[in-house]
Amino acid sequence: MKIKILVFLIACCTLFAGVKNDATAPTFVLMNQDSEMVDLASFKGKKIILEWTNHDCPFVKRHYDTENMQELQREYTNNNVIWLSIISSAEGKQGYVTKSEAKGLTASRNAQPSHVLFDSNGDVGRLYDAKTTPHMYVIDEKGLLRYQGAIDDLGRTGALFSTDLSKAKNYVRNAMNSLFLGKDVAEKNTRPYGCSVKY
Amino acid sequence: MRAAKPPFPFMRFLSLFLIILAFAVDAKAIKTDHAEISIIGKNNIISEPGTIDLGYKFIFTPGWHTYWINPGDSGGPPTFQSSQVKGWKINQNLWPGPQTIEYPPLMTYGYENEVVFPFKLEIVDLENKETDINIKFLVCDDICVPEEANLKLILKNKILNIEERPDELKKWTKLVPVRGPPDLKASIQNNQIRISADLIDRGSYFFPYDDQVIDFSTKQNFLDSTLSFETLDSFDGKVNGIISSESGFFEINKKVSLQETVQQTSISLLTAIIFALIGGLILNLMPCVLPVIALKALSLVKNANESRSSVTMNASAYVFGVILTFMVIASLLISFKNAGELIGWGYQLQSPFIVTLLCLLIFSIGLILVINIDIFSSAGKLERFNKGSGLVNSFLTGALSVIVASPCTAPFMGAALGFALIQPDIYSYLVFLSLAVGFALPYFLIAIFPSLVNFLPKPGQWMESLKQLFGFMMFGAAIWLLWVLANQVDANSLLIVMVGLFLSAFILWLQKTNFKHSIKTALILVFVYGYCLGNWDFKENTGTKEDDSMAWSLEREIDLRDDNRSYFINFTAAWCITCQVNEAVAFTDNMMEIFDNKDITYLKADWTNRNATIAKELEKYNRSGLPVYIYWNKNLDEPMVLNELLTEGYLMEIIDEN
Repeated sequence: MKIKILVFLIACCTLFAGVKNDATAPTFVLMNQDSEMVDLASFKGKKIILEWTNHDCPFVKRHYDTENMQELQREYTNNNVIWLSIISSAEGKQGYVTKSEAKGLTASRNAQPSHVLFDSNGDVGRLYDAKTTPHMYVIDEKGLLRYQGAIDDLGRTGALFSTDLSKAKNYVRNAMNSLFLGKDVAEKNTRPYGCSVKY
Repeated sequence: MRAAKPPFPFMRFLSLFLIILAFAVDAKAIKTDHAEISIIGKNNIISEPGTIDLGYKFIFTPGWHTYWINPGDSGGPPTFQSSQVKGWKINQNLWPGPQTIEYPPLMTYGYENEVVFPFKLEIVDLENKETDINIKFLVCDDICVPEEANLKLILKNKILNIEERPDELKKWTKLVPVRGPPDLKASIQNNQIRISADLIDRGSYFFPYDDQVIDFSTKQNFLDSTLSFETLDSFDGKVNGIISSESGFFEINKKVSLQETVQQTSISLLTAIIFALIGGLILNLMPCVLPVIALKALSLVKNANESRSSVTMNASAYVFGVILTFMVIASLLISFKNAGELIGWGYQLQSPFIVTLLCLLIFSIGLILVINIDIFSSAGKLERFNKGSGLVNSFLTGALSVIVASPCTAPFMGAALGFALIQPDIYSYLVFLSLAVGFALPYFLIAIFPSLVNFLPKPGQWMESLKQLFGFMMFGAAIWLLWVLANQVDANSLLIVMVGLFLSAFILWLQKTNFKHSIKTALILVFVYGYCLGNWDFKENTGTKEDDSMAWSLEREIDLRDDNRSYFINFTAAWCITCQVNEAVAFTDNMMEIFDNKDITYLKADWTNRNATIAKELEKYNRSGLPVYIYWNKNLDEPMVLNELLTEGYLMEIIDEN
């Protein structure tokens, strides 16, 4: 135990990879689709959902083609929740888009994110240890990380080939429901699935 | 591929021929953007109903891959769906062992370039029939593309529309994991899972079925047929997956007890240091150490009226002697360990040579105490050299007490030192240092607070009597060491040790009688004796008194486990005092009867002499010292490591509860 803590402390000091549940979510500042700088800290007092995305990833495509992701975005942005779609694809890699392309995608897919954020050097992705697209994070009003992991329980290829995504157990929705009720999140850390983030 | 773009006329002819042949049996490889999929088998002529082996074969665009049943950090496995048709049944496909495909920081598991997923087809009758098979899969290099293929499996005129590729099918079927070997074991300590089996080699890798065992990109370390790696915090104790080895893949499905680790095997560094400190303190009371230590205390009492600084100096010299000696022993043990030797605490007593030396030493100390000679200084010189030689004396006493303490393993020290020896070197040194500090603690305190000496009783004649009494304690310790030796060597070898005892007594008598040439005589005798001892070939005592029906061996243990029969293992040695006490207290005839009645096989692993198998076995339980008691029955996933101090009642409780 002690050794573990020691190792953990060293890891924290050197590079801080990954984020801990129920700890303060690391803040960041990224540019959005309108060339505005968006600071995570400025949303304190609101619930925040982070969505790592890559529009060409088959898993992400499936969630957008079925309107599953948009519905979730609509449901929460209408309820005063901040939804940040983050693109960590490096320039030249799959999923990398310019600001105008991103706006086009949002319009054509009828998506409802509060902001689309660009992280083409991957710093924020690595800070959060984002592994896949989609990879979801839920942050509460106090800035504490309350959920990280998959969007639902259709891991592996379920999401890709299964017919009805709406019947899946949606971890993000469950986490948000718990937060709205002021309860502890039951499943706060799941294994994300999807395509690798194209750092 | 070949049929699509034939480069030479001959190939063109061949491909034409293949196409004709393909039409004849209607076998079509389905092409998608990044893959070519077909069904292969041994033989396409079906002469009778029965089960036949087939496989879904994928050839990907070079460098592309699909995934294993657990894809790792990203991706997903292919799915196979077939319509139900009367007259035959397509079984679920099997998953050959995958390869690791790394995309740092991610780790994925899959098959690059090509793969065959074997499956079985149960043919009930030979009527013509066909089934549609829908295959959905993800094919990836840097990016992923979901693809889909629809194949038809057709039986027409007793001919199945498959490609005959018996060698390929055989090759991939051999990669399907088989049941794990009987010596496969899994354990956990400090969040590290350790999986061991003889089959595990340097290239082995553990592929988990479950998501919650490891971070897929965690480094897996190999040492001595053992794979070890860090678990996730969410690990629930189920080690479920497959392991690659040179001879193929095998399954592992073990549960490791997380609870036991907390209590027994995994103690933290801090606990180990505290245990070592307490253990060191308790060592002071051990029968072979007490006299030596007490003498030091007595000399402090004698000098109580001396200056404070002198007391401090003496106590410090003693503490220094203790710590230095411990650190020398620690570096020896650690360098042995790093050289790959299997060693344990108390191991030094496995060498008859060392036991002999210790026996002579302790016997001589006993004699010196009883006949009361001052070996280091004769009366006149004492006053003059008091300061200098006194300090050397204190230092040597410290060193000596550590050496004579080594046979006495205090109950806590098994765990603490076992922990120490499997840790990185720096931790090993820390634990040994703490042991040394614990051992020297009383004198440490005196060094800091010299006035404590005033609380010790006033010197007087009683000191002489006490000294002599301690001498007899030393004789007792010598007798015990002789007995240990008797368990190790034959009667002739024992004789030379007795002669050694005789010579020691003689030399000391010469000294006592102030014989003129006593020093010279002593030197000659020691030289002659040393020469004899050096040339003496200690013969191991081969005739064991224990009947073999109780002797432990790894094979017997595995056999018992395979037969679901309970067993109890007693790891013991003649030189382990705690073991002897436990044997007298707990392993009574009554207890043996209970073992018999409950069909518990009692096995005894005797470590009196060196034995690498036993040392290795102890390491599995994270121990390097004795005693160790192991109990297993079929309700326990992993053998249970019992308390180091046994009573009949405690044993009964364990047996009744489990």
